[in-house]
Amino acid sequence: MDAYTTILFVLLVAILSILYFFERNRRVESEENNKRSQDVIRQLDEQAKIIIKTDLALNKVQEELDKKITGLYTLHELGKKIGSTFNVEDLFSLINKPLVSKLGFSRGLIMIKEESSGTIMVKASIAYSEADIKTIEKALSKGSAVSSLLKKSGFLLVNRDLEKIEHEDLLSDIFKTESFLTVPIVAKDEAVGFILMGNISSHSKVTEGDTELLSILASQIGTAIENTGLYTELFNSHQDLNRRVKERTQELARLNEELRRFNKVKSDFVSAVSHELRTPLTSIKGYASILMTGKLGEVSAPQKERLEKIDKHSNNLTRLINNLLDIARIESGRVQMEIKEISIKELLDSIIDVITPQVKEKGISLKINIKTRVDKIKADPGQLERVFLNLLSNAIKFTPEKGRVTIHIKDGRDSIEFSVEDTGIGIPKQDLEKVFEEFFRSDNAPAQKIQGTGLGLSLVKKIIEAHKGMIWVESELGKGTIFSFTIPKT
Amino acid sequence: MATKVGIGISTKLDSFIAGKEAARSALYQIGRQAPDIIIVFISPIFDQGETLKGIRSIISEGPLVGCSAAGSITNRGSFRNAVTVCAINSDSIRFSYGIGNNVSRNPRSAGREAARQSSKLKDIAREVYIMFSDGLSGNGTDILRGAQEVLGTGFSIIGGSATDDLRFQKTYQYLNNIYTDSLVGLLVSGNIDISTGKAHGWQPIGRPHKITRAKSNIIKEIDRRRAVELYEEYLGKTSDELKIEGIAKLGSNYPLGMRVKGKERYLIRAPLQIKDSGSLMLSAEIPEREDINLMIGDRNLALEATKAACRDALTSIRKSRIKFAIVFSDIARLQLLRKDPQSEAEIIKDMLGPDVPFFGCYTCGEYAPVDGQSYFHDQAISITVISE
Repeated sequence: MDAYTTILFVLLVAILSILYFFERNRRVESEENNKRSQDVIRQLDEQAKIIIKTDLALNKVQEELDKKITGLYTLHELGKKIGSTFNVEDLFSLINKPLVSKLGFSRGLIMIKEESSGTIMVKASIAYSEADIKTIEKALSKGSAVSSLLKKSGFLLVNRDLEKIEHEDLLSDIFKTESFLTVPIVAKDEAVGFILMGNISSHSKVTEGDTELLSILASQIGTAIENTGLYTELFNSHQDLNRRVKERTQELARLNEELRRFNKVKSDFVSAVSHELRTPLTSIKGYASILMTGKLGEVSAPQKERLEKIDKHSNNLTRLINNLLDIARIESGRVQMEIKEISIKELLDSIIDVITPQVKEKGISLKINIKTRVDKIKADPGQLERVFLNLLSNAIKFTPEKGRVTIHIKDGRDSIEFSVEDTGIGIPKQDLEKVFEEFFRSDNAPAQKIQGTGLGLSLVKKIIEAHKGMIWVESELGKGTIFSFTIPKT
Repeated sequence: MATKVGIGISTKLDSFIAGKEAARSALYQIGRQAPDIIIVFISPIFDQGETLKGIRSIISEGPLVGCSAAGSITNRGSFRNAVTVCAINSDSIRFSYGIGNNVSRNPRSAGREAARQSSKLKDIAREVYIMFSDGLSGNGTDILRGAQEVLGTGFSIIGGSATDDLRFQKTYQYLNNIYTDSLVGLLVSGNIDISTGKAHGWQPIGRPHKITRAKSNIIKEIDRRRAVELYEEYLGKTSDELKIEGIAKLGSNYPLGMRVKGKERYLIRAPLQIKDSGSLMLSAEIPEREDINLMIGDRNLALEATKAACRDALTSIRKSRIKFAIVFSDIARLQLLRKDPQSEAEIIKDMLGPDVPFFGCYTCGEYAPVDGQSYFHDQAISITVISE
């Protein structure tokens, strides 16, 4: 090997050494980079795990919040329905599958203690079969478990995994759930039953957080049971009252019918008797008149005096009979009012003409007070005149000399109101209701002295009623009386 | 040509009355004419039988299909705990339907049977097939394969899996009667155009992991460890805790995402069950050797996905001719939107136009086409517009 070759060899070794050195450095650097990248990835991965765990926790909180909000909203909606329910069966039918599911449970049960037997019965059930219900009722009827379910306060949260055997059977087995919660239903300060909500999946367990929702629901049901009880009582007493009113009304209608029948018999009797009386009365009056003329022989002064009395009493009797006949006719509907348009003013003129002599005779002042612009009314002129004459002649009769009689005419709501006011002796308070009765005569001493048939006001009332009007009286003893009546405007 | 769509919704807390109310409203909107199809979504809080009786007391005639759902999403808003009835009367669209039972035993065969029964109409252009399947009992991908065996892999298949609102106990499917562990198919035919948009909005979180052992929709190992350990580690809970709290419920917020090869997007798979061996049962399959990530979402990402799905659906269709739209939005999205699910309905309404009726439900897995072939998606939203 020459020097040249040696130099070349040394150079080659040196170059290779340098290359090796650089390559080794590069590799070390790459491995370090790789390691750094791996570290970064690992770190990022660890961060990802933290993010996921945080996200998971947040989601859980959010989910519970959502569940609570949904539950409260559902209960609020249910509360509105419960508030308008007045029947216990309707109330229980509101607790259905959609409601229970929306509250986040898969099974539900409402059991209520029967008042009569004291046994606890299922009133509403969700996701239980008929056979399940029978089993539950049977298990609770014999066991001691029911007492823990019917405590007045508190709740019972049972998780199958953790349930201890306290009773004959596991409650989780009786209610066929993996976890459940019961809350007592309290009405009138007594636990009348309980509500149960549970889940059949071990993945979604009922938790203590559900107590609040279920307590609200149980309280709503308890209040509703109380309310429906009160409502039923109220409804029953209302029904009872209605029944009694109906019975009384029927009784009254029957009595009324009987009265009407008696009244008709009376009217028929009066009518028949009056007709029978009028014929001989006409003869009596006629013969008395002939005798008075002296054509059948001279009449002495005492005889004439007696004959004049016969004539006068015959006239009174005729008036009485005519009034009786008129009342009977109006009552029986045999007399129809001949309604026509008449002028109030003309009617009053004609009445005043008739009444003036009596007024003058007693020195009574007669005044007319008109406070309406209406002049035309629809009435039977003859009958209305009769009403006025009756009321006015009564007023004049019972008013002492120099007294005052006033006719008032004014507008009513749908009628014209007429009143005859006097400053007469007045009517005792206890007699006011009876003045329109037939043959009624006041026991009032001054009134007793004044003659009358006791039929005039009764006839007046019948005529006003036949005009679809009303009549009433106001009076103060010793001061005067006001008789008022209305005639409809149309 | 006329197509009338009536959408009735009731939230009354009485199953029969709620059914009746929703049906009456839907029937009124189609002028009280006999519907050609009635599509029904009933939340699990209702007694399913009573609700159907309520609906039938108003609309006694016409085929009825649908499924149980946490709620519905319509142009009238988003409704949880509701009965939704959609009645369609059309002289241009024809509907045929079928059912496949025992999904848990043989999902593929059930998918095939429902599609076969639905394909009875001949001499009319088939446009889209809608599936309402049991979301708890079967492998969504297998159900879809069964349907594709009959209809072809390129045929547009939409729909979703029925839910019981995250109770994970029992779901229902309707074909005039009530079924469970089944799938009901509805084939829509006629001289119509359809377009579907789909998106999910979930984002990967943490490092990627590899599926080291899997069979169909059961993942046995991830990174050579028991599959459940992934969730134990990230959620900070033991396997027993995950079982008690329900992996399906917990996992719906943190699903697995499988990167679609060569694409930026992820196919989502939600865990349904933890097996005793520590394996995870998913809503659909993920093959071995795939890289997966745990995914996370939030309200804004969910709403962005709604917009993306709408944009997608509207790209190939004339907006003025849209007659109606069908929406399937995953219940996990409803969880993300929490108290504000109306925003999603509002976005769809804004993007489709105020007069376009749309209806659909919250599902537990969705079928929708991507690039001409339908897949089983999870935690996603699909919007299908139908125009004449």
